[in-house]
Formats: sequence, structure tokens, C-alpha cells
Amino acid sequence: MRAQNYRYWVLWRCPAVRFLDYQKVKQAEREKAAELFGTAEEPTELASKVCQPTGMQAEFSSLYGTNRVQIMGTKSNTFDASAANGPSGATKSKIARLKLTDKERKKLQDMIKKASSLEEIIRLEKALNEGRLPPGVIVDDAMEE
Amino acid sequence: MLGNFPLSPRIRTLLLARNRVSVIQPALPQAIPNLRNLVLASNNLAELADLDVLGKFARLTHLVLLDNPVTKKEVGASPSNTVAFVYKITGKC
Repeated sequence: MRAQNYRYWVLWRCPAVRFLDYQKVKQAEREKAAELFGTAEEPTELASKVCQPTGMQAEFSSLYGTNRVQIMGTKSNTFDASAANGPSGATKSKIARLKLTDKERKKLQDMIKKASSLEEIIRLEKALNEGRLPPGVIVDDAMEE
Repeated sequence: MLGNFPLSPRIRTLLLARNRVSVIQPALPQAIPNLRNLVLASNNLAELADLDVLGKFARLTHLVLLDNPVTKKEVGASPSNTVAFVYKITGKC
């Protein structure tokens, strides 16, 4: 289910592509992509799953009334986005820019889980919104290395 | 953001490796209709849905997306549980 599925997705979305990542696209791969995602008119369940909010995300968007996470899915924030540039888009693209390692991500999740006061949450949220890691995450990691 | 190109029918190749492209302007295929080769290695494309626009380049045959966050993405996985979690909690507080 991992990694290489992105290749099938790209092949499925861009039928004109003949070389992807310097590798020739094989007919077998196209067929596999079609098998995974169906046709453009009738996307399979998996294809619409890529496009649909899952669990947390659904809750997240319902909380904030954003319909960014819909149909062809979770897009990063665009400037000409017709949808309101709510907190979702901006935060998410910044988070993506952070490039957390697994360890950092886990640490961050722990910190959020353990947060006991509203101030703590706001502090974490502010840090993430500004596109930097909250202090604890980095310091700890530096010490471990 | 990759975009803001004037109409450039003679552009066939764009080598944009090692930039910070995270989004491609939806109207880009109209501005560069004859694009054939596009190298976006080591950029910041994170979502599968952000790649949809590439499908509108009718003549795009060589595409490189190596070393983007999206290539490590599991199909169907939610992109950022952490952020959602922050909002879930703050929303309830």
C-alpha cells in the first residue's frame, strides 16, 4: 500500500506521461493504475478515498466549516483558492514545510497529548502556525543525537 | 507556488529541481501548452491532489517528482494528524 502507489496515482491522473522519475512507464503499470483507481468517470473506492477526509480530518473540517478537504481531496493552500483560506490550508502547508522526522513527529504528538492547559496548547499551536517546531521537540531531539 | 507564467508556447522543458514548489497554479497548462519535460525533483509537493493539474499538460511526457513529500505518501492516509489534533483539542477547550 505504500510509496509506489503515488506512481500509479500520477500515471492515472496524467495519461500522457511516458517517463516518470526517469523510468519508462510500462503498460502493465497503467493497467495496475486503472485497476487501483478505475476510470475517470467511475473512480474506484480507493480513488475517492484519496479524495476524502478520513477520521480526524473530517472532524477537523466540520469544526472549522472548511470544505477544502473534499472531492479531489486535500489540496495544499493555493492563492487563487476560491474557498476561504481558513486555518486549515495555511497551517497544513506550513506543517508540510517543517519536514518532521518520525521521532520529532512522535515527540510532538506526545507533547500535544500531554498538554494539560489551554495556554500550552495555544503555545504549541502558535509555534506550528509560524512554521517552526515548538521548543521541546527540537531540544530533546538534539540531545538524543 | 509554481505559476504566473505568461503565455509561452515555445517552452518545452522546465528544470525546477531543488526549489520549494508546493503548489502548481491550476491555469499553468494554458500558459505553457507545449510543455514536454518537467523536472520537479526535490521540491515540496505534498498532496496527491496537487498533482492533478499535471494531467492537463496534454503533451507532458517526461515527468520527475523524485524526493517530494508526496512520493512518501501512503494512498488514503490522512496528511497531518498532528494539526488536526491540535485543532480538535483547542476546539473543545
